[in-house]
Amino acid sequence: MALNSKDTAETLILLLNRSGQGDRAAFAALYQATSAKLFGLALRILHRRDLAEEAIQDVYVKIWHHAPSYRADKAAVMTWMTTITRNRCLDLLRSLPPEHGLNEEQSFDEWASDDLGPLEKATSNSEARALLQCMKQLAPLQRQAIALSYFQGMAHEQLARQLVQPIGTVKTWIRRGLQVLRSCMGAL
Amino acid sequence: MRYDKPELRDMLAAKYALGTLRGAARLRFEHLVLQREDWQNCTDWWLMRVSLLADTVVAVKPASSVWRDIDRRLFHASSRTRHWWRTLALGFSAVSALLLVLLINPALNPLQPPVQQTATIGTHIALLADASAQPGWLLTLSEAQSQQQELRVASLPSLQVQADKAYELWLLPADESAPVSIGLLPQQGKASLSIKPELAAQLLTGALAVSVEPPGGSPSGQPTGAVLYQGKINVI
Repeated sequence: MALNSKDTAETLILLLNRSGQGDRAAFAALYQATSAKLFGLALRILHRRDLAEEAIQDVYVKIWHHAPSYRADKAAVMTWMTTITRNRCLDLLRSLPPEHGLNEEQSFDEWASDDLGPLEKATSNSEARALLQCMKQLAPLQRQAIALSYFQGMAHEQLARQLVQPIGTVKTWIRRGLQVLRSCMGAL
Repeated sequence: MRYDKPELRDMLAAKYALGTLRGAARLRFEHLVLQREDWQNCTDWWLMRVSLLADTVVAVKPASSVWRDIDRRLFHASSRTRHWWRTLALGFSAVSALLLVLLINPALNPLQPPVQQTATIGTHIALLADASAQPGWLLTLSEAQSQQQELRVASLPSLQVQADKAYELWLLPADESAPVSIGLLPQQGKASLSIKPELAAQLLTGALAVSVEPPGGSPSGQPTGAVLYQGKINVI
């Protein structure tokens, strides 16, 4: 489903606004339209189906409660719901015992690969594809640092440990990486 | 730090959106965003771009039990669509009513000193109690004499003192709109909070809640910490 086309974005605003007025059918439709995407994100962050399901429940309960205060001039609906999902998942992740830490298969190596092809294949949204194009301008480990910050909520200290780099290096990577993304995406 | 440089604003917004801006710097940033539209716009720009990372993830349809659970939590639970603090408030009201009876009856009163003083001052009082019915403060709303009403607050011996934290008092309006901060509560002794006239009427119909906040109060204008005490203004 191409969720980010203009029509879809307007449909999501409509569904969210009607949910905010107490329309349960609109809320069910909003869930239908968005839950697979948000559940995919929850799985990517939490790596466990039971935890991702728990997170997604919390997310939609929160969306229902906050729908009345959503303003269309603010972040797009999908950005708003994505941010809620990410925050809830990262909170859950931080509450887990340390054994839940990343194992090798989950270390976001796809972002450190020279070839972002597999990521591009998974990405149908044209704006996200543009972001991937901009990410190609970064060094592989720099990309990985940004992905680990976003998907695992890692702070500079954790990134330094995970990537076996001095903390100053990691900070510089992130700062310069964000500057590159700013000028690349700002030019789009 | 100088906050008027666009490069600084941009970098802080980017780090905020990515999540690497932490601690006090993050709180300061959130505070600035609330005050300045250009900061808000810049942050929205970054949140939207950074959130595109989520689009590189494969979508997975959740099991149908997930929707059933959401539906049950929202529409079939006894608390229905109430916020958690309102659900709490319901449970607390019976407890406060009982304590109120104890307080205004001197023969039964275990908390002699604060009550004798306050009972003569106002006709509207509230007792804020915690989940185990231990009262933390007694509030007295003075009769309107001028534009401003005054809420007198006396902390009680059974209050759980929180070192390095503040207790903030919130009005939960009866129309279920967002909580409104009334002010910080003293952890010992007494204080007096002035109440704007437009809030005074709502104070009588709404519920009261006290959350634990960083020193100086909630940085966001909404409760951020645990709600430990609840109560409601009663007429005596």
